[in-house]
Amino acid sequence: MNESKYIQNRAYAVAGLFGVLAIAVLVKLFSIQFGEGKELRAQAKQEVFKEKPVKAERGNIYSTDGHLLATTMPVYDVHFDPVTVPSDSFSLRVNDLAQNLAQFLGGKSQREWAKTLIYERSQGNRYVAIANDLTYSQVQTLKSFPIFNYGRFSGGFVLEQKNYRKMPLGKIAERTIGRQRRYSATGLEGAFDPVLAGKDGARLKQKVSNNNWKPVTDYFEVEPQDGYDIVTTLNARMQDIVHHELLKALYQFEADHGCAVLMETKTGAIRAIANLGRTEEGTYFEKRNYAVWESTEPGSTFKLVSVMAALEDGVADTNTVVDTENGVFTIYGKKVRDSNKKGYGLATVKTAFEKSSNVGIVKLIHQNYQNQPSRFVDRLYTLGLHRKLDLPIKGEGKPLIPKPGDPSWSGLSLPWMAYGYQVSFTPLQILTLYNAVANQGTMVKPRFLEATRKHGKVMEKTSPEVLNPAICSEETLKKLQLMLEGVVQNGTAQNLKNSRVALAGKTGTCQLNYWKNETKDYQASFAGYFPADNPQYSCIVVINKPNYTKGYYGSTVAAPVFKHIAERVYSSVPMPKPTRASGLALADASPGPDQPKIKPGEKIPNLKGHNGAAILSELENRGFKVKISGNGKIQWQYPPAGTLLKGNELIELKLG
Amino acid sequence: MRENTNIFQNIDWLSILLFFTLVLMGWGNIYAAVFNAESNSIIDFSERYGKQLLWIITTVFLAILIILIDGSVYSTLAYPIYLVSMLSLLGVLLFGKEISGARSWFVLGGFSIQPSEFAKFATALALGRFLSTKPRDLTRFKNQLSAFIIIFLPALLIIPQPDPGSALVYAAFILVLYREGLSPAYIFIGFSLAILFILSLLIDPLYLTVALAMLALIIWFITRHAKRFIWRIIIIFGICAAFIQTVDYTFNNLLEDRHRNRINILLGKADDPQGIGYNTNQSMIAIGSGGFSGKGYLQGTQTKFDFVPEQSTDFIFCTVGEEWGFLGSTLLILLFTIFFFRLVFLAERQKSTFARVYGYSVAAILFFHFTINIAMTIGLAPVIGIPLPFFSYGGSSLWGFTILLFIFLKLDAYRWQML
Repeated sequence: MNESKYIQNRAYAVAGLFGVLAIAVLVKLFSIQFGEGKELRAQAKQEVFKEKPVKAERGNIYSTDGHLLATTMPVYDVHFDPVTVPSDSFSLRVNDLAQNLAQFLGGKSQREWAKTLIYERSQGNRYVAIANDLTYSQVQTLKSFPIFNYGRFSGGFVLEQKNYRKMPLGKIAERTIGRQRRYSATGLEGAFDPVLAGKDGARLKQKVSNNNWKPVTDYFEVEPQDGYDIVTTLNARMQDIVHHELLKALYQFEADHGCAVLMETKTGAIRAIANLGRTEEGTYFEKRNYAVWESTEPGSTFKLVSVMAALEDGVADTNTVVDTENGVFTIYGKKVRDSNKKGYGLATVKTAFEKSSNVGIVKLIHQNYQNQPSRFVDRLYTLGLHRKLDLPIKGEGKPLIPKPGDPSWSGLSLPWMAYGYQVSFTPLQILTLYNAVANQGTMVKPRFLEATRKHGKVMEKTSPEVLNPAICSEETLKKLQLMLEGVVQNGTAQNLKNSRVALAGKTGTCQLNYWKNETKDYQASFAGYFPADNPQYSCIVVINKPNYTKGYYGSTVAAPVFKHIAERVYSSVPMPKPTRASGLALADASPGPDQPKIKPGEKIPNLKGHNGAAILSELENRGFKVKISGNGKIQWQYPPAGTLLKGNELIELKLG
Repeated sequence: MRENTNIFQNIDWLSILLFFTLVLMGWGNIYAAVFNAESNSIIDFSERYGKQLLWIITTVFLAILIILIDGSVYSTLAYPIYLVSMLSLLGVLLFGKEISGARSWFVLGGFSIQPSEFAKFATALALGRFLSTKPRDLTRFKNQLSAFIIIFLPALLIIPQPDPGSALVYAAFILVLYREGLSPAYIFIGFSLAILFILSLLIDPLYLTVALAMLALIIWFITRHAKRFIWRIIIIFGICAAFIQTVDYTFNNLLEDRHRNRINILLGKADDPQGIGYNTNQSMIAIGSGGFSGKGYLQGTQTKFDFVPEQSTDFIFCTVGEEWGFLGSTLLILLFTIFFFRLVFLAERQKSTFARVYGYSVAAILFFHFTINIAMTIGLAPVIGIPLPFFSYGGSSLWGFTILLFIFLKLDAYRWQML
């Protein structure tokens, strides 16, 4: 082989190599595009194009007075993939990053952060948790840290957005507003979830990187329907009052838990609902929705129903006399006792009710219905008390009313029912009954939803739902109202008498575990309405297991909460002018322009016709001792007009 | 001898046609790769196709400039150019800007320049100069050593950037040396070592050593126990055995994670749990989805939105595969192959050793880029980031290849005066 031939062969060899490799490439290409082509095409379609759900925006929850109760905010979780970071820049900057993280996030020191990051990298962990629930601006700061500032692919910065439901007013009414989780929904979030959630849409998206999908078109395959906002019946200010008044009492009496509900009389709108349970540390939080859920024996608040039945059936009237004996009444070997331990002697039904005489009420019912217990029980059923309220909020406790023929029915059932044992109701169910009395006999269903809105436009308004147009005759109703006012004026709740707003209601003190011989637990409650003469709101306060030594009577534990709520709600809510003088405190106590001046060393003017409350405060401010009786305007005075006043004498006024 | 009245008459217009065809096809595909319906102004210099258009325009001037420069300059300045190029490689290690983990760029104004792209033609010039200064017998070890130093010095300077892909390109020069008389044993040894390297990654080094020993024994038997072979066999076996032992160390200590992973995946050793084969897989999906005639220009769906990372640079070929299908891909491969044959033909017709060596270098480098780049997009080679000549996005590489090619075209046009 000569030299040139030899060289030529080499040239051919090189060219041949080019050719062979080019052919190899073509063959592989052919196999990809034809052999594996079908499969790859399918894979491409499937992997790359998908109709991905587009989350509908969840509606907000508002209070009726326009406060935002729950809204959705984006928050971010940050993870770190240390493996994608090139080793030289990682080792160079990991300490800087650790220092920044330690400063910004706290919790760990720089050394601990550095140690964690280096360790996780060595373990090949590609998803190291850095921080959760960050705001957008926090994320921006984090993103600027060394290493992270290289971004997703060489900085390993993994950002995930999630939606966080925030309650701007904090823990107030938390239980009632509720939570929406995937499998469990509570409160209003759960109740109105279909409305709030809206409908997710779908959009054709294309995969652009491991976890990123980019929309392909400008339109949605299925347009997402954002959820409606809901306006609840809750009033943020009233909720605040109710919450804190309840909280105060719970702390004061070291109770296990309690609830308080404020309901608008005419409409049944729940303006406030507080449910507080005790933690092990002795603080309270919205633990369970006791008002909706907890069905217990109501105790004396149920006497209202007993008396209503007796009046309706005509077996007794308010002035019918019952013998409360010495506060003990033995029936089938069991004893019914009055709380004052010596009874009230011969008392009218009205007095027995007002003083909450167990003996009196039990005897009234027992004597009149023992031979016809069904008549009494049927009345409860006619009232609809056996039915749940069918609330939108899940978990309502079922009412329990025994009836003759039940396996558990005994001779004791009727007398026990008479004063609120062996029956079981939730606070909201009792409140609904009391509200019916306040609402001139019309029982309305408790409402939580005022309206639904979309972009501020009202979509649907709810209206009051009548459960029972007349729970009893008008005559009976008047009597019941008088008795409920009497409880405050003359009965167990006289501590509520000097309220700035006239109150009506009934105390309840119920022994919870009377069948056991342990330390006695009590449930103190008060249900009623205000103003007594023109009811606007009804309210129930139930406090469970107060510390026995601090007090346990409905009158001492629950009633003051009711009073405070009523006073604070009433003082700041514009109310129609009372049609009837209703207590001193209600009247304007500030001196008017034609307010007579009453000074020591001057003659007393004629006070007749003046506002009693205003004069009273004037006199007291001047240091006079005053004896006053009645309500309203001054009818009679002593000393008579024109008498020179010395400054320390007693002034008597009669109002009417 | 022909009169050199007009340089443009002597130039190889076929090569220039192929060059511009490829460059324009490349630009069209970069446009397709970056294309989205919202921003479709062709002259948008913030987008890659806009920048590439600028590069292409400057390339024309660059090419004309190279052709106008006197042909003797390249041979004369070969060593100084080589020196400057090596200094720039050294400089980039010290003063370069680190972009996505590699210190390979000088940043000047808005543009980044990658010195390793320019080292290729510098090396080709130096090699040509070395082999042409006086007759070099490449069977002599001394000459071999010098040639290897010229070739592998830039590679050694590029490795620490780190950019092993670009460094690997210098292996293409072996082909040139082969043409100039280097014993094919080197190529054989090179291949053998590569195969041994892969084998020792796949097979336990102990078993491999045993297997080699048995092979050595068999060869010894076949050679009928010839005494003169025994030492050779033992020495070769010894070298191989030693090489195997070093593979583990090299693999685990000298290579980076990502290279290890890529090799492991290609060898089927790693199951790709972390998506490192993602690029190749997606690239194959893209090409496969193109089918026979492709989806049509700008109709590709896989190759949009930077779906395959490095879509417009290293993985530009899958845009072709997806939008132009098997037909387009074959046409492209055909164009490249014709181009390479043409270059070999041109190199062979050179009268001067300098021009021939340089021509072969051009063909070998372009070919190496082409083969490895396409092989990696279709899953035949591990993903080492080297561009497809004339096609991939990137000013430095386009300029580098243009200079590389046009110096040769100039030398070719000038060949009558180089006698």
